[in-house]
Amino acid sequence: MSAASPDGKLGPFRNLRGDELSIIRNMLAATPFAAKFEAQLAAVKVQDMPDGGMGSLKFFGGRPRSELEYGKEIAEAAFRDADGVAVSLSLSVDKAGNLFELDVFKADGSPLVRYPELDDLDIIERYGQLGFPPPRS
Amino acid sequence: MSDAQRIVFGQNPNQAHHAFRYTDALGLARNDVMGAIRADLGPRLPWPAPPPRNAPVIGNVIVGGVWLRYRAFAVSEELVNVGSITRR
Repeated sequence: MSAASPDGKLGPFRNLRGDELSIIRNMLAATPFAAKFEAQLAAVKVQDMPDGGMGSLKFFGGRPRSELEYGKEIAEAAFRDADGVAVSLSLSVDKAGNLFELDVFKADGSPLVRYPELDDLDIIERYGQLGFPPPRS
Repeated sequence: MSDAQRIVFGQNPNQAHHAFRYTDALGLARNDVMGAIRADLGPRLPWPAPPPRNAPVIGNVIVGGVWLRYRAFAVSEELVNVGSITRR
């Protein structure tokens, strides 16, 4: 899934793939940011992050941005990968409010096999609570 | 600390780099970050694997005066994997 190098460097710039675009649109749909980012998504450039193949993406904001520019998470989702392992997705913006990262955290750290069908993507809303997510409403 | 589940921060150098990328940028020592998270997590283990809704547990800790948010998954009855440690 990932073209990032194993030495801590980002991969080459590329467009979002169709499955990534669908997942991100679905995550944004549950937020107030959907309209703001819709026009950007089709043309935005991303780089694979060196996460061991889990599929994390860094959005290109016109210039290199360090981790210190992280702003906040705007959407969270989860699903079960084809190998049965749980996967967490966290979409974030930088301090200026621009798309920053799609962080993919697979429970065992193994490479992502595939993104799910949208029906199998669970949008997580925690209502500010820590711990496990609340039961699906 | 739990006797049942060991807490790890990635299981290879790439995963560890990914987990600590924000705290490294903030200049926080990895041992301090790991210690704070282990102290926060340990008393609440064991956790079920797979997790409810396939989603990780989220927790907050403070290290060097900086509030951090972490995500952690129970991988098995023996292992909890921490990743995605960000500034809260």
